[in-house]
Amino acid sequence: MSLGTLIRRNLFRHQRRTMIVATLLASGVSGLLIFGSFSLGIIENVATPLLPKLPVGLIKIEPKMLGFGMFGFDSQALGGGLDEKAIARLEQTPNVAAVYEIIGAGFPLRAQGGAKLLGRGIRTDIFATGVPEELVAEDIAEGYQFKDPGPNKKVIPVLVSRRLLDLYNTTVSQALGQPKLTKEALIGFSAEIVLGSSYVRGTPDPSKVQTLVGQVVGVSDEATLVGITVPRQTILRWNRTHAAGKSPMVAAYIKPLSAANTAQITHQIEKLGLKVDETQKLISFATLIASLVASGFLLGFALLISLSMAQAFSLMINERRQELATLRALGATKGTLIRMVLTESMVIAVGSSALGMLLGILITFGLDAWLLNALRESSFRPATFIEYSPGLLFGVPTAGVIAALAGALGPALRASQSDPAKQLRQ
Amino acid sequence: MTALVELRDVSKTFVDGDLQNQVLRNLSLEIRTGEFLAVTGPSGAGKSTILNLISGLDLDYAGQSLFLGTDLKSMTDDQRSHFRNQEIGFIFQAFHLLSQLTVLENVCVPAWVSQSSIDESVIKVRAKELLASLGLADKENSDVTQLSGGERQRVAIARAVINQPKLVLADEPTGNLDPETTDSIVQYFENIVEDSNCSLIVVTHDDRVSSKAHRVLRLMEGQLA
Repeated sequence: MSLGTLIRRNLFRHQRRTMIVATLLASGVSGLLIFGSFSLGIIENVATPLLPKLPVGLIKIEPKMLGFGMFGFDSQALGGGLDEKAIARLEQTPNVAAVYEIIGAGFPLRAQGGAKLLGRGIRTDIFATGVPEELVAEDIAEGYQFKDPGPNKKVIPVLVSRRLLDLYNTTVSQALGQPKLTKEALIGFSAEIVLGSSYVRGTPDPSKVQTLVGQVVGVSDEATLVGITVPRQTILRWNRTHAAGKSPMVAAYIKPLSAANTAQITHQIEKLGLKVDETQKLISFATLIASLVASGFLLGFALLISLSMAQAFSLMINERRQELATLRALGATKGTLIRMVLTESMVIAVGSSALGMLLGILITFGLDAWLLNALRESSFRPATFIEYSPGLLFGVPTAGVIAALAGALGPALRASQSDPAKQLRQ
Repeated sequence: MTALVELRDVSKTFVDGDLQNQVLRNLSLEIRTGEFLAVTGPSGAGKSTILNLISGLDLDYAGQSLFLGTDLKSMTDDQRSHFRNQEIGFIFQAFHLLSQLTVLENVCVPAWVSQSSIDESVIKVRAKELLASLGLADKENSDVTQLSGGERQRVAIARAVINQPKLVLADEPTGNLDPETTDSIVQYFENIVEDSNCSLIVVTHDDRVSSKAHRVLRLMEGQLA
């Protein structure tokens, strides 16, 4: 027997109120878990595959466009765009770890083929970019190389855009009645590339037309959306032959020393008159809004739990004021009373949080199964709508317990401060 | 020789809005070890207030309340709590037993809140002995709400003396009891004083109680009559 006996008996004596508080807390914890797991799941499994997966810590810069009514001009033409000088300035910007140039093809080119993969052959004009090997090293499939093969080789390694693959799978494949493509199916796929010739622009110099074979060696977020991406040395070599050595810089990626410097570097880039990729800005904005909504929900949830705990414990302590005064008269210190009330709330909080987590997990699995079944015909249907991170599984019950203790602290302090002589007189 | 309890020139005024009610006026008294003192007087004369001042539950007064020469106001709140737990036993008219605990557990409460290193089994044995001496051996696991008034007061007496205090303060302990039960309670009080040599201050209206006291103080308008 000890004070623990008294705490246990107190909880059982106020069974109805204890149950109400525990139910409130368990509901809050399960609600937050459901919200958190679906938020994470939708970001990870629904939103992310549909949006270009810009690597965290890479800032994409594009030439600034100047608009006049319906016409748009690359500001590079006016001397204010992305060029060697701009790259040099970017490299000197504080907290920049590396700058990667993306070079475009300065000549027409087209591609043909794809019957094996797509069921019918495709002939189309394409665009080509060249990227440094180190920028895309992680995207190259095992057993393949992403290096300029030199002027005497016909097979050129190419990268295709991950976003293009997603777009094809979510829209084009259905329209064409073709099966969806996986990254693995694309690797090794080859098609003809014709340099110096275009279905739209024609063939400026037939003597320079060159037919090569492009082989897919990877799928990358840094690959161009509307064409192929080849090694930087390859595009420079092609431009020397087909574009009189002119190599337009179409974009650049900046790697900050730390992701925390991203906002500051973005600001510096814009001060230099360059343009940060709008998609990335949009994602940053959307992430900020989502974080604010999630934080607001968390704060609201914590306040709700704290207020309900404060209300419930205030009522309990009001009912027990003579008992607490008696304990003071018998020699309990203020600290003992605070510990007693907080321990009672801790027992309720821990038990309720555990119950809330269990309920939350069961409900999220049930809801996930129901949603997946309801969307079984949809092309946007992910493998699951839910994700559990260690932070979520640890953070949610911890937040519940902390909110409950915060709510009980006020009544506990009031209990210790009440005048025992006055209470015992009544 | 130092008095066990000493009140020096104590005045106490209750304030309720604009109303002021002075219940004690420059009161001084001493209580010796082993003394059974009864405090009588009309309602509102300040009898219960004296107990609160002696125990350190009420510190809002003029003058000094000393226990073995130490001014209670000079102690920290934790020291006063420890002092009440170890040196004082309380008995109330309304018993103030904890309804969620059994009889035995109620007797043990002062030992629990002291959080001393005394072994739990030792506390339990002492509580059982006390209950047996008060005729409640067969009630130790009973629910206190099922007991009669006399039985509850005996549980309260056992609780008051479990930590072997030097002073027991009883506030109208027989106010809710019939004459026969009152006699038995008074007998227990006499036994406590004789057996443990502790002092006992009883606030009472009941002549059956005051007649057994070594000394009777009568309070009138905040002063000793």
